[in-house]
Amino acid sequence: MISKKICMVGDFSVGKTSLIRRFVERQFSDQYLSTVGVKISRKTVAVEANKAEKTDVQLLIWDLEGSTKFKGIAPSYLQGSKGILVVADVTRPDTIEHLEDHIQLFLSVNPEGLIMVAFNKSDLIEEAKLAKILAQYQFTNQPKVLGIYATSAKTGQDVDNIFQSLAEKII
Amino acid sequence: MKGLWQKLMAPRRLEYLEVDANFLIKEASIGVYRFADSGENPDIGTDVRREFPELIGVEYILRAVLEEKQPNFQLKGIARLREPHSLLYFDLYCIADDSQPDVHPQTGLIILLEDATERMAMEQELGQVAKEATLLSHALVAANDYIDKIITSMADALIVTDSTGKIKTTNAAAQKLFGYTAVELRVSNISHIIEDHQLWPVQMAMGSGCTELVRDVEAVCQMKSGARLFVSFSCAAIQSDSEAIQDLVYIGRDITERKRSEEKLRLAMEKERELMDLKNRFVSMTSHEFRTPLSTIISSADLLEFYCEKYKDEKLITHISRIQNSVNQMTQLLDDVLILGKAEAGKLEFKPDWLDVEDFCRDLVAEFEINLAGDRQIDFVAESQNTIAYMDRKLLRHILSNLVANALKYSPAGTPVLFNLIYGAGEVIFLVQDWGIGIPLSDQPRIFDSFHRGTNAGNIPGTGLGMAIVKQCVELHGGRISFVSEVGVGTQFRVVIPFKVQPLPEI
Repeated sequence: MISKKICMVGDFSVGKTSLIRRFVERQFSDQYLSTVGVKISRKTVAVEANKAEKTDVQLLIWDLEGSTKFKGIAPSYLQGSKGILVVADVTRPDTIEHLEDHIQLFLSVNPEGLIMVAFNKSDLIEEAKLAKILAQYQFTNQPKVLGIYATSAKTGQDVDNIFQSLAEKII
Repeated sequence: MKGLWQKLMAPRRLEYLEVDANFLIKEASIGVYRFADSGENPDIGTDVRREFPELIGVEYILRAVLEEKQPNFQLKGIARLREPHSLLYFDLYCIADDSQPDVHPQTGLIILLEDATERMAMEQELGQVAKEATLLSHALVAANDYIDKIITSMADALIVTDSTGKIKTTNAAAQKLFGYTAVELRVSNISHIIEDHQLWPVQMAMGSGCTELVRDVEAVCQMKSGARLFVSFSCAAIQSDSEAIQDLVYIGRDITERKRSEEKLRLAMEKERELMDLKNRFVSMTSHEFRTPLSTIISSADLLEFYCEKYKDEKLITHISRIQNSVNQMTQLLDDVLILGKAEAGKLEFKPDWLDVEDFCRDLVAEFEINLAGDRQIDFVAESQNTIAYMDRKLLRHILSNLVANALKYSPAGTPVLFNLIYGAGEVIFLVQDWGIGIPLSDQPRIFDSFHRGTNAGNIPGTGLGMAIVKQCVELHGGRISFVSEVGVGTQFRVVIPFKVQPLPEI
């Protein structure tokens, strides 16, 4: 079975670990426990290798420590990653502003890597406000950004979709 | 090799793996299982990536190390879940195996694994505290921002002061309402704005444990421009840890417009009440004033009907004369009402002309003297040679005839009435003086009001309209009227009229 490395990238406390937990373990807790170092989770997904058949891919999902004002993401963790889920918290505008920096960092390590953007915690704001954010951040200048999702690890909204979609693209 | 590695590594809790160029395990220290994904020691000959999935995807880097294109490869802080909720951390360090320098290229890699749980647990603990503090600070900033927005967008004025009244915070509505900038208000005291002492912090009962001190209290306030406003205030104490240090929050709403409307309404109601009073006085006065001459007319007419055959000429004349007098009295009353009605409606015409005032006065006195009893007299004195002035003959007649008639009416027989005509600087002065009953002090302020009569007038007939007419006529001439009076001593009226008066525009 093919294994593919993908990374979760974003500011601290945007919900990277929670998205993995929802995707892999189907669980959610709103208690905040900061991640240090790196922890790999595995999940096998079926993707369409060609139009006729499906094939299984093992996703090796690297949960990385979120960046802070004082400590960025170590580029060595990103080496060999086929794609990333770059995550922001819709209730914290600064985490959205930092998305571009995270994308740049990843592309500097993996120029061919693919990117999905997750506007997480979307259950915490009004739909109109969310729509405004989605309209404002289209990343049209980033051809490697292949999808933008409003996710919620709490409700599970679009969590499977964003991982599945990234798996389909990196195959 | 094996013995040396193990001796070196044991004190540092290091484990190692040797792998060949295809990443197959050639050798492993006995404690490697602690860091393996399965938690078991890997079999020799298996792919290292099975137990260390962190190496998947980075094979190109490992090859670069193998070919000595890169000195090493390392990953720090790799987590392994050992028991539920318990993580083990280790650092992975990879170098080329150069223990057999004669073999080229290098035959394999050495992977060193070092336990980093203690360091990472500490990092996690510190990081958790720092990140939670940052999140809290963000939340505080956001909450503060939100409160600021609420305060800024409030339509009501908000002022926060300390316990001495010194202003600490204001919102945009307060700045707009009182016309100050935020900075000007911040160096000011609430007493500069609110005039009402009751609303000053020092006057309010604080520290009683009650947060709300006053609610909807109306106060007069002063703007920066000096203009005054009516503001409805509610004031509450802001609870703090120390009772000695207590701030106050004032919420004010501009009620100046409402107050103006209330004042207008009050004035309108007052006016209406006055009109009602006037109407009532008019009805009561007319019914009374008309009844007396009407009774006289009826009784004289009855007597004439029954006894005209028997009456001698003398008695006939008396009754006819009574009827005539009564009719005259009623006519006078109706005339007065008519004049005053016109004056109050602004329809009394002012048609001045040049006239000799002294001649005019003498004629008037002569008219009065025809009907005077033998013991009455009017002493007319004119203190000037040239007595030409520009006046309305009809209105002047109303003025002087009323004043002279009153002087005669309210003074006893045998006392004179003094009528002086004085020419001053650019004005004509008329003085009419009697030594009669006088005007009580309490009636003096209202002597020019319609239907108001002195309380000591008793049975002396009168309409209460004469002085109101006089005042209107004097004012139409641009003049002024004043008097001095004492009960039981007499009264002097003084009318001053400019020589030439510009006609007032018609209303």
